[in-house]
Amino acid sequence: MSRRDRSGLLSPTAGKPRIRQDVRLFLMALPFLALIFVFSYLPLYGWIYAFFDFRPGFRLADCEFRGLFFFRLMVSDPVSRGEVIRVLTNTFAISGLNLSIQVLPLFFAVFLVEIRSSRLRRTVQSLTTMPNFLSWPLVFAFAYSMLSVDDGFINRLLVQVGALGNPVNFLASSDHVWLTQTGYLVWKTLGWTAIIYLAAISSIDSELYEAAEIDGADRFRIMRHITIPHLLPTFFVLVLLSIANFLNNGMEQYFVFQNALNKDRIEVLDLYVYNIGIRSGMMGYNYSFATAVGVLKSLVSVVLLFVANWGSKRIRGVSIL
Amino acid sequence: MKGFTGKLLAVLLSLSLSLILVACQGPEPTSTPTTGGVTESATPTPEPLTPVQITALAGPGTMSGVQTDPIAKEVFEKRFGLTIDFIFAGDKFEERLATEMSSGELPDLVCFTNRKQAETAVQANLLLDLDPLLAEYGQDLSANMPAMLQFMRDNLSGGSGKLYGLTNYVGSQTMTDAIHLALYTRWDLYKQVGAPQVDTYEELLPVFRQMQDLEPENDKGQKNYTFTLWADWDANEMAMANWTIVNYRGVNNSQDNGTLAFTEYNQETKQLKSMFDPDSTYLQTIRFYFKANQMGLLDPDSVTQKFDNVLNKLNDGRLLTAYWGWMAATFNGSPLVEANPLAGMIPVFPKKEARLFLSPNSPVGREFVWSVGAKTQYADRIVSLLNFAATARGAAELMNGVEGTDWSIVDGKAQFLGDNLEKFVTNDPTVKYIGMYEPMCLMSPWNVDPRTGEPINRTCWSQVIRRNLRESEKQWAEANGVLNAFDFASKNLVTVQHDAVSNMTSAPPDNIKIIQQKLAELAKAQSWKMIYAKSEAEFESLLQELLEKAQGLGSETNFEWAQNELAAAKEKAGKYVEFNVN
Repeated sequence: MSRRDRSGLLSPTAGKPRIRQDVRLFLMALPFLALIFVFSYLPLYGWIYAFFDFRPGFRLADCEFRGLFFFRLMVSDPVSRGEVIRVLTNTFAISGLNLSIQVLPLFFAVFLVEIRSSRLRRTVQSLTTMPNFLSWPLVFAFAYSMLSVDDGFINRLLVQVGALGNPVNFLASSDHVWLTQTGYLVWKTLGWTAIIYLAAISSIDSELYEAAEIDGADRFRIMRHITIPHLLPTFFVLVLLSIANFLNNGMEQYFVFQNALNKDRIEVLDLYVYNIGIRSGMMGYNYSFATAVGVLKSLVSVVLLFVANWGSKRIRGVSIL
Repeated sequence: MKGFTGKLLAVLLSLSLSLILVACQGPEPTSTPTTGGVTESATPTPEPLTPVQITALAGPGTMSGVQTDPIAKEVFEKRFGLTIDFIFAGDKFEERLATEMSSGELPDLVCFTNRKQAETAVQANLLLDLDPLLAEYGQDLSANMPAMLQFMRDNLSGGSGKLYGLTNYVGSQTMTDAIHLALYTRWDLYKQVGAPQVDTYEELLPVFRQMQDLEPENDKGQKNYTFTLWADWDANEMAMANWTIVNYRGVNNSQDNGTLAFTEYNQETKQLKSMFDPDSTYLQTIRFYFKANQMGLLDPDSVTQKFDNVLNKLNDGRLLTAYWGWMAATFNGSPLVEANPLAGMIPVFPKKEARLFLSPNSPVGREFVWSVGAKTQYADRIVSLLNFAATARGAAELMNGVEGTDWSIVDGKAQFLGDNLEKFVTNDPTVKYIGMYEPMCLMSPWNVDPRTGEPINRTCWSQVIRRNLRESEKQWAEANGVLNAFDFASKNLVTVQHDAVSNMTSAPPDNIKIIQQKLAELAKAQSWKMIYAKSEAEFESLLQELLEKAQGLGSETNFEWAQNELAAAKEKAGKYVEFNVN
């Protein structure tokens, strides 16, 4: 479509006022462009650290240029290669699980509005929203007091009612780490995410419900044929957003829950970068190496994006990009 | 008009936002720090001093924020005119240090936890050369610690021969009644199972099993355990293996082996061994805790809990052992033992393995390095304070509290005044500051104070030892026909003196550092997994995995470097010998 056609379509008066309008629109967009530039593009400058032997206290110009050395270090020996594969597996598994639980808040919201007693509904909603405001260290302290072997409430309860012969060391277990971590995440975010769906439900035309009731639909049919279809657009937007954040599963949660026994399974990319780059402090090459791993993350993201785009083209016939 | 205002608003808004965003990046770090430049700050300040505030970042210790305890008030402020604001670092010191260093500047006073950190700061020109200040403000430093100063000039100056740092704990340890490195256990239970004499630590396990069966729960109905471990002290390896049985057996663990990470140095045989040798004391210790866990003696919360949880368990009487003299003393001072004195802890020494391990005569101090930031304005006062810390008098006050109010010398012996003695032995929080500044002691508090003839450290004062002698220890000593724990150890155990050679090793080159970093991540995680292994077979396969992976990551190259470095350190050792305790 040529420029003239477009301006013709948008503003029949064309010419000078059209340019003025363009400038105005551009200026309105400028702050946001600046934001994106500062927070998404400017940090890419930091990649430069992956190519230098950077050490805190020295100016980058004074550090030795090492080229691709730190990238090679990732794959230089079988142990390191294994590490990268392990960390990527964890990241994909945990992110995949997080993606698959996106559907839970939707159902939660749908069922919540079905509760007739408004007091009970509000109580449930407050109780499930509350954990979202707890920080991860607090969540861990809570989990420790509930799940530790000897003092944990749950272990004591299970042993006392005879469900368990011996207490289980939940927190130090290396089994089902991905699932339990997803569980904590669900506990923390379920109520909060459901708010969006509750808002969407309240905007559904009540005439639809009345009509369905007159037609003799029961509550489950109403859910299936009215509520859920109306929530699907919101659901897809949220899923798309979380696909975009697929690799950014953050590190706070995994940082507070990690220990020597579950580390193999819990170490996602962000946590790995932190563990080798910052926690180990000043032992040698960490900053540059960690940056190199961070670059790897971006490369994987770009690959994922293209795969998703290709998938979208195949399935929906429309590309995202 | 409305359109115009809207447009203007939009333009202004976007411009201001863009400006803010640009401003957010902040100014470029322009200045490169310079060395030297002390002349302007070296002007002597007339008495009395108006206190000035300085910032400090210290790896060891628990100081945080502006200090207002009696030592800070009476000593730092009144005598040296310094109010010290400690940057909180907790257990994230290295991260904090790296952040400060990246900003191109270090606080006025810094205490590094190892020489590699100090060396990096020297190379980055972030530290002040202290030599020009010594003549005026550091006379005791020069007089008492000539070897240490020379060592630092020769080995930690980036080849410039300048003085950028001071190590702490210079001096010697004298044999005293306090035994630090020994496994302590409850006397009442140990007596009930017949107080058996054993040859090895492993032979103690069935004994502990019997003891734990005698008292499986504390009075609140909580489960008791013989051993509890914690992970928050882990550095390169599992700290709790390092600081317990490895040390009890007279072996320098990888952590106190200077810069020679992943090696252990047997002070008796003078043999250096790789930690990844299947026969290393470290791996034997891991096996010991594995067996303890198999026998139900190990607290299952060990890997997830923090040291604070352990202190609570200790005071609740849920632990049947303590790992060091001070930890046993903490328990012995608790109300539980007050009520039942025979429950006090006494040391157990498996005759073939336990050693009486004495800390080094170290003219060059230990691993911690105190330095002054290159940009400080108060170098004169800070050096005066460090000079004070290098005297017996200074160490005595930093270690024991303010002389004259907290303690004083009575009849030639140091004594706590008032109710401080009781407060100290019962761990009263109001005297928490006593001992808090221990890492600042450049003069080792284990030296004998020339004024009293006893070690500077309060735990070795005859007054404290008399007070600490519990009924439990008296009975145990009587049963063994000795005077006290120390008497027993010196009569029955081989005495091993730490030779301090490993204190003279230099920081590893970068290629070794990379190997060490990778080994650290492996060693920490694998050690815990081995302890928690479910069967002998699983333990063996985890051990094989550890050894193979370590080899794959270059553990042999690291060990080769360590051997050469130790040989070089032995050569150096003869050069640095002089120190005086005054």
